[in-house]
Amino acid sequence: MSAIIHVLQTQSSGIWEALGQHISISLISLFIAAIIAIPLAIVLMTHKRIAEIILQITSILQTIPSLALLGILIPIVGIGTVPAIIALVVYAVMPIFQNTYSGLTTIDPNLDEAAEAFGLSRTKKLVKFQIPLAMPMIISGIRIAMVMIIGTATLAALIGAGGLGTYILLGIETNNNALLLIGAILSAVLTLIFSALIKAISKLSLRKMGIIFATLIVLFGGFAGYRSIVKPPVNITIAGKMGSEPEILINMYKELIEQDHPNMKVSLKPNFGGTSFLYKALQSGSVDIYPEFTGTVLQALVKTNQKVSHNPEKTYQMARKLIKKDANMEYLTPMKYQNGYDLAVTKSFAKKYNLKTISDLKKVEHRLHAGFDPDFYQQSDGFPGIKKAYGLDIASAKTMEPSIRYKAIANGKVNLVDGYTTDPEIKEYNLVVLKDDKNHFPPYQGAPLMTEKFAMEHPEIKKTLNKLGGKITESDMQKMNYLVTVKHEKASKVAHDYLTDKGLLK
Amino acid sequence: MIKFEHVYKEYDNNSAIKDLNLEIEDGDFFVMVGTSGSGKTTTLKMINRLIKPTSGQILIDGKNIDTYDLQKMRLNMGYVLQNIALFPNLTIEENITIQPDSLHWTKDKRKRVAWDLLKKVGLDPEKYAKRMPNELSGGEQQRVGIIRALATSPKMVLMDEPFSALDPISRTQLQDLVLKLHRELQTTFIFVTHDMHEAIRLGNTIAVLSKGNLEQIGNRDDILNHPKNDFVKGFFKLEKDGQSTVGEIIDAGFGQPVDTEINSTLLKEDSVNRMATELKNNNGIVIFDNDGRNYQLTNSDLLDFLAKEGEK
Repeated sequence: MSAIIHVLQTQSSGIWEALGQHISISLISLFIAAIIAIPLAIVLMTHKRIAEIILQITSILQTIPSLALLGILIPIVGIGTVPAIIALVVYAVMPIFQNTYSGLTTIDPNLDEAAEAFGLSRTKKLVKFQIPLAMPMIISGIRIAMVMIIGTATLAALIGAGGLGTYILLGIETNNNALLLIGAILSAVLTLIFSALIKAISKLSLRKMGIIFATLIVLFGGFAGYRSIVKPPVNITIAGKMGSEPEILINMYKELIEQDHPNMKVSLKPNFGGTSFLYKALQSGSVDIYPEFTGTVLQALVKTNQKVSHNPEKTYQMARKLIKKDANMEYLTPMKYQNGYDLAVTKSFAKKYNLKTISDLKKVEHRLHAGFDPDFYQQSDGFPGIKKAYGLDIASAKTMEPSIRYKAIANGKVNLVDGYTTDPEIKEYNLVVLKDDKNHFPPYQGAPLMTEKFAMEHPEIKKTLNKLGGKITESDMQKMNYLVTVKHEKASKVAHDYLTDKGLLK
Repeated sequence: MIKFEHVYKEYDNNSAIKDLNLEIEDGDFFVMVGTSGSGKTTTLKMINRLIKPTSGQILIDGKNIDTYDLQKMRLNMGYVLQNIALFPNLTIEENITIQPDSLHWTKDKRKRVAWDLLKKVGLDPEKYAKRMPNELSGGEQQRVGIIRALATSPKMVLMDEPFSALDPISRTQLQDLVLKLHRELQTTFIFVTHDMHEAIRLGNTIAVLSKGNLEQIGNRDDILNHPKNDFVKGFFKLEKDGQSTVGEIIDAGFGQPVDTEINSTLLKEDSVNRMATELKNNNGIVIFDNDGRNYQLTNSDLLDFLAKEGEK
């Protein structure tokens, strides 16, 4: 509780901003969905077959997982608010359309006959009784959509649209329950407030509803206009994957670039979704730079049959050449530290079965229940490779988010996890890293990735970022990760302190 | 004047109306009576084009109804439905003025018409105008249904079995009400019913339909006393055989023509039972319209007639 109050006191401005973003994304999406769905249902109320088809289509859209939808949208519309709103609208259209349609088509046919016989026009019929009688159904559709939108909007944070999801993801990522609770509770409270508001609005007459909607349009239009005017021009967008390490790195990039080129403005998108989201965003130009590991480039981003070397320098050179050839990307000089995969067990488990190396796992393989990061579970140098290289046949393996994985082993839910050599949790949870005695894991070094086009247009930025080449040791990174993840310090501060300490900032 | 010329209506090759020819005079109270499936409702709904004939034509004032602007034509026709169909979200006043509203009458004019009509059917506007339909009894609702059809002072009012869902007391009251309204307004009323008593009580002209055929058309006397065929005779048999009629009392020499105002809608064709009810309601003296002359009958006329019948 005190942790929550502490966060509320120190980060109130950020929380207010996230709340504002969440409300505006949700309201705009709900509004657009209503504007599409209600008139569509009105037009189709007399065309049963087409309406059935539309219902089918919207139901299918509903079944697309939201993360997949966001992934599809990035190459088309980029990152940020726009794809988030599009995805939310796609989900919200169905409940509103379905309820409006059934509300309009279940009206007593005698009333339609009466209105027809009285010579009422289509509009008169709608205004006089059809919409008023369907209103309770329409409102309940809007409420269902609203609850879905506010819940799903937390995922908008994954593609840099902000909102309360930022705090939820950050909370999960940095193992900070206070942040997670703040994000979750606020979005629940938001749902309740909006639900009550919609109920209140539903009791008003059609005319008053119209006035409220018009006011909202003007307000949001004005707000958006104001934002676009006031917002400082952003020259460069740098994003990072989820977690403390990428966030620290991109803060360093920002500080260095803005020091060397005071006329440039850098905008950061920390805690962006996984590798494929970021890479798509980079290809589409929505993101200019993001830090990527040499090993990941070889495993996930380029196609190669060659065996990955265990020499870090050779690995980097190979990654640089292949990604240049395959995708016209420029891969800058990597930093010093190696952040490779490892496998870890609890100290007590290691002691009980005398485990020191990965080979030792063979003798307890049927007792092993693993929790793996989804990337590790899939990539050929991860779990599949380990299985082959060491001939392991373990009892079960589940995929889970990186930070949950550590909690799972701490709570005894699993007894084997993958990790990165720079993870602070190894120390925090008293784990033992097993030696990769067959040298299976390729060395992973981090370096900035950008398109060739961007590198050509901004040679000066290339030069600035290369200053970090060969810097930052494994222990530096472990320490910084520890400060952010365990001590809850801000990534920007940790990055700034490091750069100042090493004399990279004047 | 409405004229049907060789009108046919078929549903999926089943004939609903066969070669219908008839004329409805302006100001008539025209009743179509028949069992279900006789085509009476289909015929009614073809007048306001809710149903389109398969062939043949319908003329209003000599012009094919298809040549009229549909909405304008309907805005000048009243329509009363069997199940009343008041709009549940609108007040009584808004329900009554739904056609005037479509015709863009001013608010004052709409209100005045609604209030006048409510008064005419014995519903206090102060009390009823702002109420919602579900706050009214079935009989009250159908009063509103009727005056809603009269709001634009239309040339004709179509009524599709409007009283069949009501209890007998409300039904008699509303029958009296439409007769009174018809006398006052001289509008063409076209009324569909399956109830032969109702047809005899209300219609100036009665059309008897069966299985899509027009069996007979004529006034009460024609239908009751000169049935054209066995169907018509059988259909109205009960009406004639059940009891003596008011006409028989008059024919037996009871009562007298008077010059005083009428106080009842009693008809020569009504049963003595109904006459007894009317006597009870009017302190033992009924004065009614007997073929254009006001006629008076009293309690003792009824008793004497019944006593005489008993002696036979």
